[in-house]
Amino acid sequence: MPSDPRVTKALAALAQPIAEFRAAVQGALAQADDFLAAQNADAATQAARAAAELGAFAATHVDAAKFAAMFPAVAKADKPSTAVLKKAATILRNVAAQGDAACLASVTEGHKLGATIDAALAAVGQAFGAIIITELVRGGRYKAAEHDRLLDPTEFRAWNNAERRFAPPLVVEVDGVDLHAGALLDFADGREKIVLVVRGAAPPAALVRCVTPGTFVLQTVDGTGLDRLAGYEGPAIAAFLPEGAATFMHDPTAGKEPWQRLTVPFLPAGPFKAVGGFSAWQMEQDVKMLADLARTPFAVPATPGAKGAPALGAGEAVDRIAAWLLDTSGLKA
Amino acid sequence: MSASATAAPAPPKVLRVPEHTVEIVSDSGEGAQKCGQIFGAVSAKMGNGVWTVELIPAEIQPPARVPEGASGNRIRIGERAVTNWGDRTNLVIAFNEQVLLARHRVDALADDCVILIEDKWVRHDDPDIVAQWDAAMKELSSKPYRIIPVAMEDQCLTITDTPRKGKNMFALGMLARIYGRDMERIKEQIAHTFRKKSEEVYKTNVALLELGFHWAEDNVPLRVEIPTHASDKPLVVMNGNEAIGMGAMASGMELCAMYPITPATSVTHYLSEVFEKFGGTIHQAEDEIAAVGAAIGASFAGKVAFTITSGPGMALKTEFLGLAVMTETPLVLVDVQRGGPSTGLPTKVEQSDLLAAMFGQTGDAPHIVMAPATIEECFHIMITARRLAETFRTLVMVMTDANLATGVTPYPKPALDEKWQAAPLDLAPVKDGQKPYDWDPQTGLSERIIPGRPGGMFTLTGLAHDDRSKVAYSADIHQRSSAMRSRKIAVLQSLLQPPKVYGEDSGDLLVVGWGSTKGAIEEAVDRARKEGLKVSALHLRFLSPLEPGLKAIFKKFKKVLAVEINYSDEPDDPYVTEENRRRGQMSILLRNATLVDVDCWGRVPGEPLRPMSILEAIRGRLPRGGAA
Repeated sequence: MPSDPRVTKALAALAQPIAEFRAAVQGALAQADDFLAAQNADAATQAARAAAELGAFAATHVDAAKFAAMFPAVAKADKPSTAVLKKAATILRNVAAQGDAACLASVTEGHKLGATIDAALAAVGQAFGAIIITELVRGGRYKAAEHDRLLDPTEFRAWNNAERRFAPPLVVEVDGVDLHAGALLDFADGREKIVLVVRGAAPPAALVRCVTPGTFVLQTVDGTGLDRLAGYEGPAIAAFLPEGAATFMHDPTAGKEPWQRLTVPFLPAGPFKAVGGFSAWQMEQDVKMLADLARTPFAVPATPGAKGAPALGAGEAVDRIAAWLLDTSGLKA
Repeated sequence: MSASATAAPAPPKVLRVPEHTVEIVSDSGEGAQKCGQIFGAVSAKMGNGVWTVELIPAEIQPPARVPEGASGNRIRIGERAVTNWGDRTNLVIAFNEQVLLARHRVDALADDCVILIEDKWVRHDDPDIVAQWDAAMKELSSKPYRIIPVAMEDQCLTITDTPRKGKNMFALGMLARIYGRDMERIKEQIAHTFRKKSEEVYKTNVALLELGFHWAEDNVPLRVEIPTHASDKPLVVMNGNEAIGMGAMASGMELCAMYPITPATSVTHYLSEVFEKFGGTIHQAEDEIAAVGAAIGASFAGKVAFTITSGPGMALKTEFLGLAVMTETPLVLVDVQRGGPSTGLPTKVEQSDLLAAMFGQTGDAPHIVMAPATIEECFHIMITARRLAETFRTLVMVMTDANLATGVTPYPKPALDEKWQAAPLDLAPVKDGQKPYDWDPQTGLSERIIPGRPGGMFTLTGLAHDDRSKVAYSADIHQRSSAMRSRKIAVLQSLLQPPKVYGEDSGDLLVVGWGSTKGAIEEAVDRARKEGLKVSALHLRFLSPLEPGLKAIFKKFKKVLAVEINYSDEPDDPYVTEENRRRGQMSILLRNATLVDVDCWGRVPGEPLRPMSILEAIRGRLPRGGAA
């Protein structure tokens, strides 16, 4: 069990995509094992399998042995196919055995955030190759020269669209001094979800650099918003930061404009102290950028006596700014 | 009347019996069915064998207080497993005398039947109603029934202002006392039944239940004890439609496309509560044709799809069923049969879709037809049906009926097996040169291509086509493709086992049945054998292809009699001759397949066959002494 309760919280929030990934791995492993077992199955075993597939209704009505002989569960595979399938099964078994730990990584001293994520995804992503190998062998289409490299660890950038959409989520423990947000954008594709659990002092708004139109970005200090992240049908990046950091959520489904998509419950005020390679000025700029992105693009003067201009919806803003222009220009009837 | 509600209670007579049959009958909407369902479910959970049959009027809202509107439930409870609804009822609770008359007139009540009847009608302000009551009592006096008047409404009014809606719980309470049912289990069942209603509704129902219980304690001088036997296996209690729905899920079905039709609709009532949780979708289409079209389309696209309907709906689906056969698209159709022809008897049981199911499609459309014989088989047949539909790339019809659909019985809880589910789709590129209908010349089988597989694009057509799915009208291609579609049915028959005879393998008479009549036929055969008659039974599950070895089995009996809930002319009916006699549908099939002179006996009473009726038919076919 992870010692940091935030890791547990992050894994819990990502339970659904983790379960989907693990189910795919388990499913493929079961198919691989079944196929391998069936290669050596005797007639009685094959009949038992056919009987199981046909169910209890057929038990006294269908001759399972004849059925199995006519419809073998699997085609006969050659030796290279069997060998590669065994390798694939081993990879799948290893990934499956790790459980949730397959979706955990930690940035250790001397390593970079991006490289750590890349390595973790490449390792777990081997499962995709193993799943494909399983399908190829089962379908009798495996060709060693063409397909063997599928079992090598493959970096995220080489994953195809389907794999990116089915990518396993990752929870990464990282020290604040290593929180180089730019590296995260390499993984903002498909449905990849990365949650950083940040240890120690950290730049207060580093993830603002990840705000791009289709990416769900979250900074939280207590886990708020992780459920929304988990349910988002696209790439998502989050950071679990220490108290005092900016908290914000950039939800691409919330509107067309950045200020519509961004909610910023808390913006820290400076001055900031440098953290590792992040200067105080840099942190100030991050916070300022976050404030700018979240700001309504025009200020509507408050009507005399009113308490202030509320945040506006886009259509409403147009109407009100037009009214204000007419008012200030003296053209209003 | 032999007793009064206000008379001093005599010590109750305790009846220890191996089985008893109960009915609750009311006007439509008075909740007798709910009462019966709860009573049946609790009895099953307590370890009794149970078979329930819903008594449903043909109209949704028939007029009140008419015999034709009788609605309710019949529950046969036994010490051991109960396989059918039996012969006659031993105890009835009736909410008015007209619905009771309905049951009396169809000879549903045993001569010594105990009748608990709402007696408010005898005091009614309307003299016509009082006169109807008097006339009914006179008619009922033709039998030595034991009638106990019960002021149900007056009692219920002490708890609720709407006794019409609460009387059923009062009746349930009476039954609970008479039959010694577990009140806590009943309350649990009430809570489950009214789970979508308010707490207040539950409390009122429980109060009415307890009122009925205590009233019976003081006023009904009868207790019935039926030994219970706890099963060593976990049991589930459900009706056939729920079993079909559950079986569909267990088999990995992903889409149920349907249009509502009695008595099939409740499959989707059940599925609508659970199907989505398992990744399934129910599509209620705009009509029957669209429903089957959606199912075929989904199946073609790689989903595992089925459609449910009843006779009139199957008639509407006819053209598309042919399309499934012609395009070799796997499809499971469940036909919950009701009385016909046309819209017929929507709520009543019949087996008369058999020939329409087998031969109703235009052109030559060979496909698989199967029939479950029990509610348990309704579950398991869906697994077999899906597997065969996909293996043989064809239409599989599952023929159930209103008796199985609405009947409730306990059966061993199925141990789910992932192997029941369809294997994941193979979306890899099709092999070089592979065609959509690469028929094996021996078996007619070919590998199915799912749209989206690289290299697998082809035009699906209901027109005659060659193995590339190209429209082709040439004589040799149509001859060959017809043979290939037909061959698959022969191949399936080669994989079937000969059916097992119930009883001795030879004798004077073999009774052949199919579908929901199994329990009644076997009970009748058991009784006949006790009388010394050399009778056996054979129950078929596969109807197309027929199970193998029938001719050899038939030849070991002097006579073969097909029994079914279908009309057939009797040999001595006016104008009926050996040549023009319209035989029962099953016997037509059997005669055709075996060239054996299979006799038939069928009835269409709108209710399940009674063992006694079948026994009389058996006796009628065998001269006294048993020799045919």
